[in-house]
Order: sequence, then structure tokens, then C-alpha cells
Amino acid sequence: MRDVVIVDGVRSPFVKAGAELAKVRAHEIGRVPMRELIERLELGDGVGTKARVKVDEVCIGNVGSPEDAANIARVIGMQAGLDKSIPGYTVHRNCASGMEAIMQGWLKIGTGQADVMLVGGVESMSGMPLIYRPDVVDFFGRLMRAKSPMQKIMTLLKLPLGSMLNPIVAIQEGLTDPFCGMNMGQTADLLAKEFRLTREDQDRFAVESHRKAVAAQESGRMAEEIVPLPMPMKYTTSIAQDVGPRKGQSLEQLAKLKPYFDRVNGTVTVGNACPITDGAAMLALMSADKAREAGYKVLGKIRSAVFTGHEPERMGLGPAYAIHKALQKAGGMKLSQMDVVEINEAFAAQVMSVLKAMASKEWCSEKLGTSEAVGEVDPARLNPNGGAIALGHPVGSSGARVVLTALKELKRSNKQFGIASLCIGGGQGGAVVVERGA
Amino acid sequence: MATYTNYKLIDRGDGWAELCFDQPDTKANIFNESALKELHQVTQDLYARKDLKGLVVSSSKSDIFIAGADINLIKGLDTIDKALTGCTAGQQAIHYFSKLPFETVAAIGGACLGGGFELSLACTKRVASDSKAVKIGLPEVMLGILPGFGGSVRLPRLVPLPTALDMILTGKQVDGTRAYKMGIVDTYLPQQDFNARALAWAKANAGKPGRRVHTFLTRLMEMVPFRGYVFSQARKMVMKNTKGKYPAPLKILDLLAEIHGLGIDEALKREAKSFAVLAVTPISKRLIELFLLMESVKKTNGVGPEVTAMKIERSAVLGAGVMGGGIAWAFASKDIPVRMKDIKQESVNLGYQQAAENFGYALKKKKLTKNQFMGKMGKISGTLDFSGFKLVDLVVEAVVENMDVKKKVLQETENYISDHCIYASNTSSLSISEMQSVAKRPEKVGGLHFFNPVSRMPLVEVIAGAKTSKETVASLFELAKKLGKTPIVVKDGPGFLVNRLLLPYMNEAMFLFEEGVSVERIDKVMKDFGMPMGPMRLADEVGLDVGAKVAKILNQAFGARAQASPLTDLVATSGRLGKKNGKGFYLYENGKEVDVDESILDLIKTRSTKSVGLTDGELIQRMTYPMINEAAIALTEGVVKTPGEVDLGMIMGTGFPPFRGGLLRFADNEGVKRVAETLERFSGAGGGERLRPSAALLEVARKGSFY
Repeated sequence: MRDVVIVDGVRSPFVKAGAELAKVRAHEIGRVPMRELIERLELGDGVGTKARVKVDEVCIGNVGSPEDAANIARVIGMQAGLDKSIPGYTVHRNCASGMEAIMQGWLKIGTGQADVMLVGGVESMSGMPLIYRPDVVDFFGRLMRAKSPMQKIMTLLKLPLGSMLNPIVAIQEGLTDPFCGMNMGQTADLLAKEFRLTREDQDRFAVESHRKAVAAQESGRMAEEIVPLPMPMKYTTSIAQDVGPRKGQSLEQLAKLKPYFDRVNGTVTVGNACPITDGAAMLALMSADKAREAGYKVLGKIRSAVFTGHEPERMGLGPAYAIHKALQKAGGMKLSQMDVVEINEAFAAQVMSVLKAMASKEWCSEKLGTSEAVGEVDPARLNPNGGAIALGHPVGSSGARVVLTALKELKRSNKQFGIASLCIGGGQGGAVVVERGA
Repeated sequence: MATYTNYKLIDRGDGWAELCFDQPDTKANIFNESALKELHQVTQDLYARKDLKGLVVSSSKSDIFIAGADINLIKGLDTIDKALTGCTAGQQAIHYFSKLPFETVAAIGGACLGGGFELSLACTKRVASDSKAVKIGLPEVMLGILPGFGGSVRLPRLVPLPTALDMILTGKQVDGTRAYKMGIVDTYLPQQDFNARALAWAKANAGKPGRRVHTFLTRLMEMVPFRGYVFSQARKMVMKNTKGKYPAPLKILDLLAEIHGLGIDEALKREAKSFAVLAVTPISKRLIELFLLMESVKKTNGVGPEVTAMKIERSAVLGAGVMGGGIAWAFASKDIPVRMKDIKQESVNLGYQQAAENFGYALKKKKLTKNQFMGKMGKISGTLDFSGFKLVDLVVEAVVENMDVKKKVLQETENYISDHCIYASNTSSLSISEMQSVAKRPEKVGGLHFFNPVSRMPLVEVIAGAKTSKETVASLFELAKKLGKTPIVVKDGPGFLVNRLLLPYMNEAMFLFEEGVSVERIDKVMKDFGMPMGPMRLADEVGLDVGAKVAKILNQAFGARAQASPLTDLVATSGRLGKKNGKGFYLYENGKEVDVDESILDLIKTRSTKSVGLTDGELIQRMTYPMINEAAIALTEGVVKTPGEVDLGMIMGTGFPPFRGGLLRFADNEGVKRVAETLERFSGAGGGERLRPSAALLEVARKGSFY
């Protein structure tokens, strides 16, 4: 494999679903950071002849495929001004779709199939559709086949009105595991019980996430990875930063919230879980040689990228499996070598369980078959600029966002190694180890 | 088989032949004298062919069927008799053709305009290709005439009356699919092997009746009394759009009403008569001259054929806001990616907003789909730094009108752009040459003066500074054309061309106001003259502060002859900025004028009444003749090279009435000698240096005319 570098990346602000971006299509959210990246890195869009380097392909992770952009990567590429000759494809690995896109870029460039790729993730959770139930779909089919007016009337009389008014909500369905039948929040509640996490500890974790995110916003650190999103259709305003982080979020406020998923014995609330969010993140990947030739100052290189699988009902533990494997694949590195650890905060309970599991010799030996624990994470190195509880989790794009955030933090703090990881609905984990510089 | 110069007649089997219009040594087919005469000959030969069952009329030119009649023929018609004879000859050639005893099918694979469309209408059937090159229309009205080869007669008999009126009155052009929907063509076919497909279609559909899109309702509309209503509505629309200044559309309405239901021979006679009346009007001559001027712009690059223009693939705009956003829109609309830089995100937003407003208009008119709208907006990316500037071929600077700022911005920008990149300032009055004095690559620096609002104003002044290279000028000129604008090359100098000429006009309006003439009267007189808005209203539109600034610059540059009315400063410093703050010579609410601001009278302590007694004609002279005076000076200074460029600039840049042919055509019409004498008189009556005819004007007067 050739060395693959991440030259730079930029993302849209993350905005709570149903709010300002409710009517903005996912591809519109995605094309802004992509065009910005093309401009910042002076990439060839294939339309003009001048370019520092030419883009070979686009790969975008996306979960809730918009009905008018089935291959959203292609649509974003074209809308961002890339020439039709630059192909694009969309990948889906649930919450890690954006990370899967990075994996694709790494593999394709690493094996010499491409030199320059634009990868990333995008999600408009506001845009997720309502879907007709099967009997309604069947009704429309019969109506279309009905030929004579009489047949049509007879068919119309059998209108399944009840089902029509009770559509399948894709977002609800998508967040429920098809095997164990548990909602993602219920899997977090399960972990909270098994790892003995108190409600207060989870809330404290959430408060920390907000505090760190607000600090990152106020210092301007967060703005380094964000391009303002001009707001269609009038474009009178633009959103310049994440909407989620709340200044002065207090424990007391969080304590008032009722458990959302398990109302009797649960501890997971909307306050210590990530909000449902719209957003996009884009990265430019190149072969190390290409980047050097073109004279780029790159953010860092990919040391390893892995995905792991385990039981769906504990999907939140994914990072514990994936971080272990990614460190091994990066040449047997230690968790303690990681200067920045980005773990996507789907739920406070889920991240805290991951930390406990990795620190537990017993858990590691049972689940990973190792004699030692993976290790403890220094709290100062964990999500230093806040995480999804404050920022939000636009599922398709978070996988790309955590890698970008980790790299920007390494650059700022002038440190060497970072790891970015997420839990993935369905019982998977994903992790990427990066090293600063080329 | 006989051979012809302009046509090829080819047997296509089954009793069918193809008459292919193939004018030698040109890319276009047009109906010139030879082609029309020969059409008669061809038709005569075709009558003799007893073996023929059908004929397809086609073109050998890619993208052009028949582009229309030779415009120079029309231009040369100077008497009604000549016009009548010329028109009747062409009309009768086509009428003769229309009576051929077999089916004739026009195969329209490209531009099919004017006389070309009229020949198609004389065929039994018409088929168009689905190519984008297909443009079917009757543009005659735009030249001040009407379709005289039978089009005015035949189109209303083919399609519903409102459709025919719309086509003939507006000169609009439609493609094949649209023409099919409107009932103009019988079908449309794929553009690949179009002529062969058309022939096959013609054979397969021989003998079947032609397609008509009439409905019960459209038939009803052609009956009394509904027909009268349709005509009166059309007349209302014409009056609204032309203010009655253009005789052609009114004549068209009269003719169409008159010939409804008449026998074809009589109808054709009346069509020719109406054509002849219009063809000799000065207005038609002016419109034709203007058309030819615009055509000549299309053929040049503003410098010369030895210079090659650089292609602009990526662009950037400095300074977002209304102007920057408008310019960004212009780039994005032609799919040129544009980086829009400002110092604050709020300003960048303003630029986005302006572009979205313009694209939103196209969206509303269904000229763009929502996804296309997004794609166009996607061509614009905002930034607060210079990232991405390395790749751009052109930077248009639209920052605040201040020389120091402009110089600083230029110097800073040069650090971030490539050597090949052109830097153009959108200044309306500051010297390009002075900006060049601080540039590292002055040959790459020029002016590209768009007018506000960019989306609606067709003129762009391309300004050559002292050191601007020819390649830079040509590149800017070609770019302006690509953006759908009409460029003129202007030498660097105060106010360039348009603002320099406009200033004496606005200034004189101010003086007249001080001399007792009311705001309403000043504006009304000039609107009646044909200007899109009066000078006082225009001053509000431009901004009274901006106007005062320009007046000061020109006063400094030209001295006594550009002496600004004291009112200019007085009004601007009284808190009146014009439309933008709702207060000027008029009062505005939500951007709409509501009333004249009477309180402005309090500002002037000594308003005289000395010009109250001037006639409307004298008021027009007071305001327009000083422009002519200044134009004469600008021409001798070489600001532009030809009177044609002055006229193009004034029509496209200020809306000077096209039917007057522009400022200098107007001057010639008035008589330059008379202009000079009148100015002399005004000068003696208190105008002094300001209104004294210049040596340059007197020289033109001695010579006779500008053209």
C-alpha cells in the first residue's frame, strides 16, 4: 500500500434537524463544503484546465438516501461544480458511512487506483422521508393496473385510509435494530445498566461536552473546520457555526429531563444523548507522493482504518473493538501513544462504557482475547473540542467529522498521533489512526 | 435536372424531391435578391414537373435553416414605392411557391427566422428538429417593420390568434418542441440525420391533413365580439411596453384585425402596403442601424484579429454586496465558477442574496428547475481570505469607490493571483491608469464597468488604462460578450464614456429645477422623449451621494464646462441619499416612489423662475444638447473611436431611446449645426461656459454630421 494523506478538510456547521436546514436538501448541504475544499486546495474541477492537481473520484457516505438523489455523491459532485467526467459513488455503513468513504479513499489511493479523491459524509436527517406501508403501496399498484373506470372506482373504494395516515417514519425505523428490535437509545440504556453508569455521571459527561464545544467555538478553534452555509432559497443569511452547543449547560437543567427510551428504569435522556442533526464533512485524500509533488502542507496520513463487528444490542461498544484493532493494524501501537482520541458521542453512556471496557483487563480478555487491557484514555485527550452530544450527529457525516476534528486538533497542538472512532448501529465499530504531517 | 446557384434540387424517390437551400460561400442561408429571384425560377421548374408527389424544403447548413431576409435590402428601401415593389416581389415568389400542386414540407433543422419562417408557413406542413439550434420566429417587429413575405397573413391562419399575436408582436423565438406545442410545426424529430428523417416522415404522412391545435375556445376567441377583446388586450400590452413610441406593433395590430377573414390575395396586398409604410420610417432605419451595430460587436474582440483573447474559466469577485453579487451572478449564470471575497461574512451574504434574487427570478419564470438553481448558486463560493485565487483567470474588483482603497486592494491581491490572471476594476469613475501605477503587472490591469443592476443593464464598458495590454482588453471584451452583455472599449478618463455623457444631462436637470421647473415636469418631458425614467428620478435611483461624488470628480477634471449645480451638494448633504434611504427628489416607501418631496424647496433660498416659460422642446434641448456637446469632445479625445460606440453606449447604458438610434443619430437628426446654435443661445442666456458649444462640436457642425 502507498502512503495516503489527508490534505485538508472542511465541514458545514451542524444544525439540529427540523430547524433552519429543515427544507435544505442533503446535496445542498454537501456541495458547499465540497466546493470550498476544491477552492482552498486549488483542485482541478475538470471544467477548467487549470489545477494544482486533478480530482479522480468522489466518494460520499450517506444513510438516508434522498429520494431525488439516490447516488448523492454524484449529485454533490456535479452541484459543487465538478465536471461530469469525474465519477462519484455513495457508500452506506450506518453511522460510520463518512468513515467508510475515507476507507474507500484510502484503499483506492493506497492501491494505486486513484491519486486524488474527495471523500466525506452528508446527512439531512430532516429530509428523511415518510414511507407508505406495504398495503398502501399495493393499493396504488392496483389502482394503476385498473383499466376500466368501473375497476378504478372499485379499487378506490378499498382505499386503506388508516395505513395512509400512519406512514413508516424512516428515521425511527432506521434507528431501530432489525435483529434485536432495540432502538439505539435502548442499547445505550442496556450499556448503562451493565457498566453501572449513574444518571449523574452521564449528565456530567454531557455537560463537559457542551463546555468543551462552547470553548472551542469561542476561541475560534471550531471555525477552522467549518465553512459558513448560505441559506437557500433567499440566501439572506448564512449559518457560520454549530447550533447545538449550549453555553452554561448545567447539571441541574439536565437532571430535570425524563428518561426517554426506558421510562421506568432508564438513565438515557435527550440531554445525555446526541441530537438528531443535519450536516456534511468533506476531506481531500491524496497519495503522499502526489501531495508532496504538488507542494501541499498536509494535515496528516492514515496509519490504519478498520471496522469490527459484535452483538447489535450493545452496538455502542463498537469503538472498544475497533480502537483495539486499529492500533494493532497501525503496527501495534498503544492507546497511550494517541495524543487525541475522538470517540463519537452517540450517547454519554455509550462512550463511558467504551472507556470502561477498554480499561478493563477482564472485558478485554473476554471480548478481544488479549492478556492486557487496551488502556485508559486521559480525559484531557478525549474529544478535546466537545463531541456529538453538543454538536450533533448527522449520521452519514459524523465518521468524516471525527477524523477531521482529530487532525485539526493534532495540528493545533502540534502533536503526532490521533485516533477517531465511532459506534455503528447494528453492532459495528470503526476506527482510523492518523499521524500528523506527511 | 436544372442546376441553381442557391439551391439543390434532388430526387428522393417515390415521386418526392428535396429542395435544399445551399447558399454558396457562406455559413448561413439568407433571402437576398438572388435567392428570391431564383426561388421563383425553381418554383416555375417545379410546376413543370408532372412526376412529383411531394417536396421537402431543407437546408445544407448546420444550425441554420434560413436566417431571414437580407437586412441590407430593407435598410436600402427609401421610398414607399421601392419598399412596396421589393416586398411584393419576395412575397409573390413565396406565394407562387405556396400554390404548388403537391405537398411541400419544410424541414426546419436550425434558425428559421423572418423570411425563412414565412417560406415554411407557405409549405403544406412543417417539421422541426429537437436541436437547440432551432429558433423559429418573426423578429421583424424589432427592426420597426412587420413580416412582409406573407407571415402576417399565414401565421394567424395556422395557429390560434393569441399565439400569432404573441409571435409577431414580440419577435420571440421558439425551439422545435415549443413550436410543436404552439401548433407551428406538425411534429418534431431527432436532430441526428434530420433531413433524412424529415423526408421519411413526409412520405409516411403524405396526404394526411396538417396538425392544428385549435380548440373550441380558441375558435371562439376569433369570433366577434371576442376577437375585438383579444385585440384590445394586445393593444394594451403594446402600449404598456412601448408607450406608443414604436409604430410597428400598432401597425401589426391594425393589419391583423383588418385582414382577418379576407381572401389571401387581398390580405397579402395589404400586408405589403403596411410593410412599405413601416419600412421607410426613420424609426425602422434607426432600429436596423442599431441591430447592425450590435451584430458588429459580436464579430470583434474590441482590439483586432491579431490579438487572441484569454479564456476565462475561473473567476473571482472582490467586494460582495449588491454590485459584487450581481457580477458573481453574471459569472455563475454562464457556469463560470466564481470566488466571492469580502472582509465580513455579512457582506458575503449580501452577495449571495443578490445572486439568489436574480436566479430566483429565472426559477419563478420556470427557466430554471430547483436543482439547476442550486447548481448555479453552487458556482458561487464565498470567502473571507484569498484561498482559491491562485487558479482564477480574472479578478473583478468591486470594492468601495476610493482610490487609496482600490490601490491597496490591488497590491494585496497581486500577492495571491497567478501571473496570467487579469485584474479588472468595476470602478465607475476612478482612473485605471492611476491604479496601474502601483501594479506589479500593469498590463494585466483594466476596467470592467458593469452598470447597476447587473442583471438588467446590458452595457459593459471595457476600460483600457495607459498600460493595459491588447490581450487584456480583448479578453475582457470577449468575456463581457460571453456573459451576454454588450461591451464597448473605452479609453481611461474621468467618467469613462457613459457617466461622462450622462453628467451634463443630470446637471442640467438640476439647474432647470433651480430655475423654477418642477421635478414632475422635468421627468415627464424626458420620459415622453423616450428615456426609461426622468433625470430626477434617475438621480434618486443612482443615489444622490454617488451623483455628487461623480459630479465633483468630473468638475475637477473638466473645469467650467462641468460646473456642478450647487444643488447637487446641497441635496446630498441634507440627508437625502435617494431611493436607498427613501428620501430624494421623491419620497419612497418600500422602494416604491410615492410622491415628490416638496420639502426640498426649503433647501434653496433663491429659486428663480427664469426657465418656467421654456417649452417642452426647449427643456429637452437644454438637457440633451450638452450631452451631444460632451460626446463631440470625447470623440476627439478618442474615448471611443466611433459615433456608433457612443450610441451603443447610451442606448445600452442609459436606456436612451433606441427608436432615436442613440445620442448622435439623434444629433444628426436634429442637425448638428442647430444643436451648436441652440447651445450658443443657452450659453448667452446665463448658461455661460457650461453650455458653450465646444470647438469639437463646431467642427462637426461645419462638417455636417457625426455619421
